[in-house]
Amino acid sequence: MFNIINKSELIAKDIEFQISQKKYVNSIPSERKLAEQYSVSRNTIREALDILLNKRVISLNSNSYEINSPKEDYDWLDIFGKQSVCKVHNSIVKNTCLEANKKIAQKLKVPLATKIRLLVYKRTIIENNSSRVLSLDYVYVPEKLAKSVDLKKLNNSSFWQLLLQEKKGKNLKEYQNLSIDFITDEEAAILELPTHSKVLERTSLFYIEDTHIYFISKKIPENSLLMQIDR
Amino acid sequence: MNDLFHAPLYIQIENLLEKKILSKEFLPGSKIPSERDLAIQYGVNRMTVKKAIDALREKGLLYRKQGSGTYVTSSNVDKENVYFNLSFTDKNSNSGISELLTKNGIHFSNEVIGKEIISSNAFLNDKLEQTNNDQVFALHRIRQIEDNPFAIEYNYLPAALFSGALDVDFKNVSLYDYMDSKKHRPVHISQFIQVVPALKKEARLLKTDEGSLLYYIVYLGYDEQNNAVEYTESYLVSDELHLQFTLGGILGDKETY
Repeated sequence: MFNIINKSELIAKDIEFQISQKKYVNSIPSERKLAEQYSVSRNTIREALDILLNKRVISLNSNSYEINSPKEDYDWLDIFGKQSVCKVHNSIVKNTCLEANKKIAQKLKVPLATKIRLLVYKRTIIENNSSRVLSLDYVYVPEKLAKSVDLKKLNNSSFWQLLLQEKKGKNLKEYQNLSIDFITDEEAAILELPTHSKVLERTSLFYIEDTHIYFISKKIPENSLLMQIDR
Repeated sequence: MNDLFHAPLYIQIENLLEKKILSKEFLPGSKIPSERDLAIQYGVNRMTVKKAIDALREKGLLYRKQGSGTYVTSSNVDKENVYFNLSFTDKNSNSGISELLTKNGIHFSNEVIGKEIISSNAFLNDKLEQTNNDQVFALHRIRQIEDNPFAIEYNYLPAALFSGALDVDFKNVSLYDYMDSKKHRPVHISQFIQVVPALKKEARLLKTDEGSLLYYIVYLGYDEQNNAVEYTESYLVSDELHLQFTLGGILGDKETY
């Protein structure tokens, strides 16, 4: 037997492999059956399942372990015009025009008081009749560019999907920063989280031709994945 | 600079003071010239100087001592050592944590917690695109800065391409340098990042609490001939760590570099 990967880790990996090979679909066998199959104790199986639950590969639903659909990086899919398997709905929290203050002016490299469109929307994913909140997104974009985008469709498409209808094929550059931070009480209420929760914060500066877009996405950690494997 | 041209005076004052603080022209702990003197020096209104100083106080770079003046905040050495950004210029030219940290002048050490040759593991063989008769070299390490662990790395390499890996001293030799010496350094990397709560094992190894949030990063590395040469799972503490990426691409199409 191996030393550095313990039994439960080894079994967790094997179950993940079986899922990737579609040997298990929708759900995985019961603890008892798995214990028999791997000739180990129920405890070892439970440890293995904890590893998979923790990574959200599976979730416990009443008494059976259901296989979650693979997580996707929705921003990435949107920006590069790829389809997600899931339906994403946006509820708009804010859609206003403001004058750039110092911070925004510096981010977007525009003079103070330039007209900026601020879009704030909550993203929810709909999967098997249930919905999960993904993130609260903030988009700061010069009004000049925002005007060319059909924002009326923001309920069903993200800003990126709408933008690429106008600007598809343009070069983009992104400077992305990831951190884990506490959210404000107001944001907690919108995201349906307890106060003082932590979220995964993706802060990005996008450069599309000569226009700069400032994008902040406050993501619920367990529902988020960033930069998927795309070989 | 283009944006400075647009910037109002108080921002320009703020920027020049910040520059002097960061360049250590104004040393940590020292007193800066009074608002009145600065106003005279740059030929601006005293209110403009006050506004700039207030902004820098808010940023934590300056502080005011009652009846004495404005001082440069002295940087906390301990804090500097544990707070850092990990930046990746782009996700396909990942140079490895060691190189990134060394480049940034951060001293860290490795502790090898295990290395081993693993036979017939279907999961790992699948990731490394091998047949089930092939073997995998496993290397498990803890990365730490002084006594603070910040990452666990589980590396898996195809044993056939890295014969002799068991004898390498990975406490002192960087994995990528070793892979380079074997002419199988990863040049293309795919990865994903997820956030997971620490389970018992990670919490113990990273000296943190169970349930505290960790970055969980999975890499797949391919060499120039497009062999899968590395499968890595790593857990990084999130408290003091920001991850930065620079990505390029074509809107609505694909990532390019």
